[in-house]
Amino acid sequence: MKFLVQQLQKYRQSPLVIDEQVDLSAPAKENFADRLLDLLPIHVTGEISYEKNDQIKLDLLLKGTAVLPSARSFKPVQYQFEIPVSELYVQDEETLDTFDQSEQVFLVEKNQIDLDAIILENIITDLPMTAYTPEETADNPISGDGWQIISDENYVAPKRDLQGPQTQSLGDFFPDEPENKKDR
Amino acid sequence: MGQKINPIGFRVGIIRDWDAKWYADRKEYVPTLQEDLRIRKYLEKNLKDAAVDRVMIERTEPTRINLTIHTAKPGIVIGRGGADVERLRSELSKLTTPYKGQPKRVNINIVEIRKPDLNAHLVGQQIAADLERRVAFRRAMRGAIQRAQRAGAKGIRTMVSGRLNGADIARKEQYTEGTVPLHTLRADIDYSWDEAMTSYGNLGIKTWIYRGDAEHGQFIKDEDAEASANSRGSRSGSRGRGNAGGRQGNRPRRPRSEQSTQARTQGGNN
Repeated sequence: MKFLVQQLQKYRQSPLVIDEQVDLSAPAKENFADRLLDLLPIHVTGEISYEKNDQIKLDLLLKGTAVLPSARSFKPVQYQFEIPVSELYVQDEETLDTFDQSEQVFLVEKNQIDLDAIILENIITDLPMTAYTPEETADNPISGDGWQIISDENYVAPKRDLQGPQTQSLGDFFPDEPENKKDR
Repeated sequence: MGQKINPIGFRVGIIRDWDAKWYADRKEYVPTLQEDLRIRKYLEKNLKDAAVDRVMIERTEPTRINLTIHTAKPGIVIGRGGADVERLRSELSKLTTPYKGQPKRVNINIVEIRKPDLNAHLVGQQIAADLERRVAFRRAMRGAIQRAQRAGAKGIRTMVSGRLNGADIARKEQYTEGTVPLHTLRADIDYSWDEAMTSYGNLGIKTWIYRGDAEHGQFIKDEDAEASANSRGSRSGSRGRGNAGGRQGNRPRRPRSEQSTQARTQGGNN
């Protein structure tokens, strides 16, 4: 879905209402293959309005399901999302500079609003970094010869052996330490 | 401009533990340090897609190296049926120098980071990956901030600098949500600097994540940050972390007096 700015100008009085099913599976798999395995059709609802000073306002709600690879086994995990999008588009850089850095304001590029790209970017930036299958969420320790996986909740840092052969002679250098006094 | 200390280095020995834990006397110090560097470089190169945050190297015996790899994607590190991690072990053993003719044994512990959105390096890497794929930098930064807040961060700041959106003049933009008390030593602030390589040149990404406060005289660990984040909802207004949920009994925490002894015995190692 792409809208030229001229096309949107007729929605000054009443906004353009969007209620559509969008399939972005192909671009998602092409550009973000390491982040997701598939993107099922997305239901997009909301409106686009042409505001004063030639600003275009987007208020959308994206609902859909992404198929993510499990962080442990690469098995597909269905992740359902519901993302509200509220963005403002301005026509020139001078206007853009008048907004605060923290506001979601963007410059209109090539005189058009590429809704597909906007939707895909918003979904990608909202996806979690890791996903797990229901079996993996339960703690199942995995190990092999000389290696093991531990959840960071169960990780216990090994206690340091201060009395080991390498550090034993160091006691002479710290005579004030109570432990060293005991040894003498 | 004010000079800014690295928040990680500022907290090492106070609330943050060292990444290398070993002692070597004068003759062995340099080759051991070089061995550490070789191991780190190899892991950085070979596990760049595995969302690795920290690699901790511990040597308790002269012929044994314990590696602890903190990663959000253990699947990439271990590979199918553990094949990759076995290969990694043997490759790392080859990088080590034998001790009195005896080869060194490398043991690998893979620690799974369950909440990568509270980890500054992983968040920074994610923003960098987004920028490299031409995602608008404001969207990438906002996404990272929202995910960190959902994960329970008390505060987050991200800064992107360089030729933003391909502009002719380089500049920087930063977003902050919540608080990031950099001068408070007990504040568990994770910091990272990452780089995105775009067609217009490199962009620098700095990330600070404030995960909560450490208890007096105790080191923070990854699960502390998570416990703090998880319990925040149920303990509104409470700023303490350690004793929540009665978990402290399981933690190998050391009192302040022991820390200072250890810091001295390890002097010059890290």
